[in-house]
Amino acid sequence: MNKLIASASAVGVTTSLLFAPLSSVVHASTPVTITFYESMGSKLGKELQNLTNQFEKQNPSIQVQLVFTASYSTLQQKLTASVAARNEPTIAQLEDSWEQKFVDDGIIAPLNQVLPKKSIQDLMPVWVRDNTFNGKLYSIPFNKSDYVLYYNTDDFKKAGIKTPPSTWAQLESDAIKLTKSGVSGFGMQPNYYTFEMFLRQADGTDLKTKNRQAAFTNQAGLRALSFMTKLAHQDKAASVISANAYLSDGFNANEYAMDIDTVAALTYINNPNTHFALAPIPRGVKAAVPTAGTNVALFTSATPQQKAAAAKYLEFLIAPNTAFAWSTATGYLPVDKSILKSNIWKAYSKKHPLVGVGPSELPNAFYGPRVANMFSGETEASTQIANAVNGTVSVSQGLSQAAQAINQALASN
Amino acid sequence: MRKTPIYLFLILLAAFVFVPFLWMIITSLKPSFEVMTKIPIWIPQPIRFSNYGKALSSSPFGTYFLNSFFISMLETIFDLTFGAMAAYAFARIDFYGRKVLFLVFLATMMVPGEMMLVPNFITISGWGWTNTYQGLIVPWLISVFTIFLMRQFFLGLPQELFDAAELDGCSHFRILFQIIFPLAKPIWITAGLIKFVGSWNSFLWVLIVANSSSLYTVPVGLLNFTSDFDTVYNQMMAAATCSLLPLVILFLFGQRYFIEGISRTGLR
Amino acid sequence: MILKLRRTVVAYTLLFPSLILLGIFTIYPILDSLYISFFRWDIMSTARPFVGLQNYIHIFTDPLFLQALLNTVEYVVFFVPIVMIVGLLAALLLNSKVRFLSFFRTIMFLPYITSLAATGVLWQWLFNDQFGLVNYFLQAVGLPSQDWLNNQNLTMFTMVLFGVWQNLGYVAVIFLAGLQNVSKEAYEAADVDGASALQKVWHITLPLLSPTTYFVLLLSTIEAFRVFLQVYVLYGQTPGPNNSGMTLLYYMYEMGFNDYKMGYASATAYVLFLITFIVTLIQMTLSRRVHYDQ
Repeated sequence: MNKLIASASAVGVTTSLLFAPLSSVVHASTPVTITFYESMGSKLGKELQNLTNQFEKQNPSIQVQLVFTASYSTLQQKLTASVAARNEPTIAQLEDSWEQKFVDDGIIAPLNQVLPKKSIQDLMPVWVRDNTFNGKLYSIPFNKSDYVLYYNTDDFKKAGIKTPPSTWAQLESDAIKLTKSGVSGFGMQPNYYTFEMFLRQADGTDLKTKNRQAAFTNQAGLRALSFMTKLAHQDKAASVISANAYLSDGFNANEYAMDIDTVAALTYINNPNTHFALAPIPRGVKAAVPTAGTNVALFTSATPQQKAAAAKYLEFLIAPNTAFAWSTATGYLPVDKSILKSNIWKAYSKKHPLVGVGPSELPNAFYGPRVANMFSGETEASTQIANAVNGTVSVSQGLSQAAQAINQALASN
Repeated sequence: MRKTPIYLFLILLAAFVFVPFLWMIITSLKPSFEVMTKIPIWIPQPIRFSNYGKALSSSPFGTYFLNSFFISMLETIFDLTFGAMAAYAFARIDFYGRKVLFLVFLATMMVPGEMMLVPNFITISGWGWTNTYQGLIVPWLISVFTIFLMRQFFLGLPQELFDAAELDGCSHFRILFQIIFPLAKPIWITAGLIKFVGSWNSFLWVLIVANSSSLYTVPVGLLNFTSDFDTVYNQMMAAATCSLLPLVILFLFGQRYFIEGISRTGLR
Repeated sequence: MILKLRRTVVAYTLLFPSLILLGIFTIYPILDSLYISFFRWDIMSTARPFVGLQNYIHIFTDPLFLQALLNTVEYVVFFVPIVMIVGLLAALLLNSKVRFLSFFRTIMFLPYITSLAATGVLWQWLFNDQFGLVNYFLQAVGLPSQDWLNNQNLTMFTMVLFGVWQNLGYVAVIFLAGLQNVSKEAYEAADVDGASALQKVWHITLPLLSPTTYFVLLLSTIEAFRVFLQVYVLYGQTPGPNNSGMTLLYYMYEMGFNDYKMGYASATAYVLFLITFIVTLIQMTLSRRVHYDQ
């Protein structure tokens, strides 16, 4: 691995070096280099580079090579190819659902022994749970976000609504009021993930404990899907936004007065005529808040020196100072408990009142099933849920077909 | 005015093709809050030329352009040379295994490239070629498309041409490179253009083989503007417009040749 | 006999670079995935149980695969003739002496040279039901706006339109190159006979163009069977409303790269390959009757 990285930095854009034997360009001037496959585009990538530069300054013997891999899906392909060719990076961003596969195959290493206890203990409980597999911590939370309610304050004023909705009933009645006042009340994507959120709020769950079967063909599932269908169909108070459009674009253009989106979308709401605020997601039977984002894991194939260097880097990434800087520059959530208690965070959130909402919801946060081969099932379930929301199939039919899709994905090889 | 219907059809077709690009250019000049609006804004207020600066400085586009150019150029040159050789054999030489081999070549076009991604990466990586130019380029030095296109062209050339050459005692190599290749200008410019465009726009292989932005190409830079939550449309369109320019220039330059009649090349 | 042997040696010398490169980077992976298709394997783990034909059997019992097959065939049936006719028309016109020729030609080729990363975003946006230009224009001329990307009945239309838009220039350029091969003498003779422009196209251009037409037919059929990325980018990484855009390659991609079922995905790739191969063979046999291809 070292050889490759050294050669990468040495190979210029000149034709003369083409086909130059690799060995001629290897003269590693630094003792350890680690590679990091990451998917942080534009602004996010710049900030990651900034932090990494800081780290390298503090640890002059470690070089961190950031490898930008564009989208998560290209990251996933690159990782698959790398592992298949036994040519893994030292560390990489992983979605928790792929991570399960990597844990099962012994491709990533547990971190409990590598990271200081103090650092792990400072992580928010939900992230510790999300990064723990088979009782061991296999990764650190990195670019994490949760979902909040975005609402347009002008529209609310116009419709005579004083406070944002905090229950399903209020969400529905507010959406109706807003729609009557001239703007669609609620923007909603009719996919599995929206359904999953309402399902959890209805006290249901995705899968049975053994993870091989869908568990939502019950009262909770029915309630969740009926609620979505009612908002869109009977009440005509919701705009149905399909996967080909971003929820934030419609909210930004004031197509609808409310939507439920991740806190990381905040920076994209930049229309000077859209005045808005954030609130916790309304609760159903209980509160349940979806999360998103990736973790960073360490590959077992790394050399001991690389592992030690990577551990230092991971520790640096979750250290309160770094995590605070990362959060404020990107809109992702701060991952440490100590940050939220600190004075700098209090001062910061006073100045930017919107940033406090996301962290405040975290006690109710959940993450989706961490099962590697469920993706196609979720896609197909999304299709069935959209069919139900659009009224082409009945709610119970949509529900059972969605469950069937997931069962099939989980059962087959 | 016999040509009016022709112009009408051309203009309609051109409009169908061009309106998206017009929109792309307009968007590239907009401030971000004018990008997504219920009623489309045709003239940005104010016009933001700075989007171009921001877009191009968001990634090391200079390096990306050089890489794209270098990689596409090299792949095209090799592809045309090897392609012409293979096409000549298939079109003009009666040899054992010709039919079966051609069918095999043709069949390779039908296999989805996605399927070859991992095995090819394993090969490249076994040779220690990850993160090198040769790893990016070598797997793409030949395309069956080019062979097939040239073969079709060579089939159409009059037999006398080849007979005459054989009487002169030319070897097949000399026939190909001294007589046929100059004659085949329209076809190799076409094949070259298509190959060049294909390499210019490919990114998946680059993303998988390269581990450093010093080897990245222009399309990777374009992917930088999209995230899970939203897309920075104006900057993305600015960068996309810039990435088009070299190809447009190449096309304007190339088309002069491929419409040149055969008559000028002395076939008659 | 000896002569043919000698010719064979020359031919293989000429074919040598292509054979080596294709052998390593195309034929080897193809055989490799044939092998993989008999296993249950995520391509990363060391565990790799042999499952025989189970992957193949499973393919044909999955209704989603059958839908993908139907959608793909429907796409081929619409896309291939449309792109060929429009492309040929464009090439014929661009080959005649009209003003601003190079301008028109360049415009026609633009979609093909633009990265899908950009055109995908662009089309997604043009067909957006709220912000899309298409709906804006429809309303401007008094037509009802459509839920373009959410209505399963419109998916095939949108896909074909997108495909034609993208590939029109590419097809036109190949035809254009083929047209340069049609000798001027034939036309001059026809002029003497006083043939009309349409007659000339029908009796001279089309027959002489047939090797090119044959080429474009095979090529666009093969490409059409592999339709995937258009759907992937246009429908926000979903297979369209109610799976109306699910195609064979989409299905394969999802199984292999999202669900880590590489063995199963390889089997799917082989089914896709076989279908394309059979269709291509039929086309080759049929077109042999129409023209002189050897």
